[in-house]
Amino acid sequence: MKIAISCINEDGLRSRFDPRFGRASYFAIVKVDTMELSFTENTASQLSSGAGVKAAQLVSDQAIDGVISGKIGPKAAKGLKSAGIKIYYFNGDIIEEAIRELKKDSLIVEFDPGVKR
Amino acid sequence: MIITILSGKGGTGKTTVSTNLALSLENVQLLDADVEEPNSYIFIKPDFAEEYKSVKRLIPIIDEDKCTACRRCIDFCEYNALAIMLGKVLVYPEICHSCGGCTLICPSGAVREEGREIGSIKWDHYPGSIELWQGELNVGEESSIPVIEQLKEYIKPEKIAIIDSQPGTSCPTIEAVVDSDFCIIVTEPTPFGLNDLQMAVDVVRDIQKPFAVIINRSEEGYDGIIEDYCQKENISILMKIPYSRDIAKWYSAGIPFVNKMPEWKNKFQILFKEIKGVIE
Repeated sequence: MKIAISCINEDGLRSRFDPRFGRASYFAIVKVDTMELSFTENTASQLSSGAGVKAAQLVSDQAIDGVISGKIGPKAAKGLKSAGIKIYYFNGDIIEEAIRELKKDSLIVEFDPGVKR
Repeated sequence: MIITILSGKGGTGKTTVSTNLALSLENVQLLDADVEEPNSYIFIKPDFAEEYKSVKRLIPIIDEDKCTACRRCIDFCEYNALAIMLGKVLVYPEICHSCGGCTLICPSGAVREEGREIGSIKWDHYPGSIELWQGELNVGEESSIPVIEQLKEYIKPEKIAIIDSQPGTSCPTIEAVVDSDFCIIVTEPTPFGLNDLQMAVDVVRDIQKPFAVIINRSEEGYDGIIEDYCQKENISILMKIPYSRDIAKWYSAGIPFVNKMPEWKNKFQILFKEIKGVIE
């Protein structure tokens, strides 16, 4: 399973979680099974219009299965849902916790496409 | 003749000036171009009836059979109104600026455009001395320009048109100002009022419109902040509306103050003559 997590900085598993989706500075891309971690800069974060849409496009292009964020706007959510990407809500400080919670199945699922991508 | 009322800062009294000026003159058409939150109707109390004119704009429709998922339209769209998910193009009409670029750039002719309602124009069907026309942007829409453009199409050249614009100095305000013969900038004697007045002055100077200032909530000992600036910049102050609890009380009850203080109608008439003198 491959997951994108919105984050403020790029600092491995200690990277700080950003509750905002479209306006987050980076997305941490995690392969949950192997814990392989990479970062994608969110080039949409400073856009005056359509940041959420562009960010959804950006993570969807990474062929991910789910997104962990705090606040996902309706336009970004529409994009992610159309891509069959699962949306999880997290409320915490660092992305390592987010992954741990995800593995424990204790994150709130906002959207579950039901079918695997 | 077209007079536009604007202000850099919100809540300085554009609607107060627009409605009271309109009520003091004859043969007036008042156009509420503050389309995100039109409120002149509260003071004019028109009968908009059921009928309205729809404001439409073109948005892309994708023919999925023809689309090859080449992404050219997505990369082209400056406003990110298009996305592609699982090979299917998604359209976000509410952020589309109707530039038509996606239709032009699509190599397989899969994009066509269709009109979609984004707002409305309402008007007083049984007007008294004032004809009120109101633009209204639908909730969730991002661009108010098409509504303001269409509203201005109903301006009657034989009337004195007063346009109540949106606050600020961005596109919607400029759209309201650009065709006018004279601009009135409403401000208040506070540091915020001054700062935003300066921004509004920059705009009207840039588009070369004759203009003057009205100080609302004017109070002795406070007006200096605006007066000093206007003197330095050689800007005339047409009127000072006093800081008054009565005016505020009437405003909150939807009563234009000229109805309670009829001597002010005369002051607005003199102000109008001054404006006419500048234009002609």
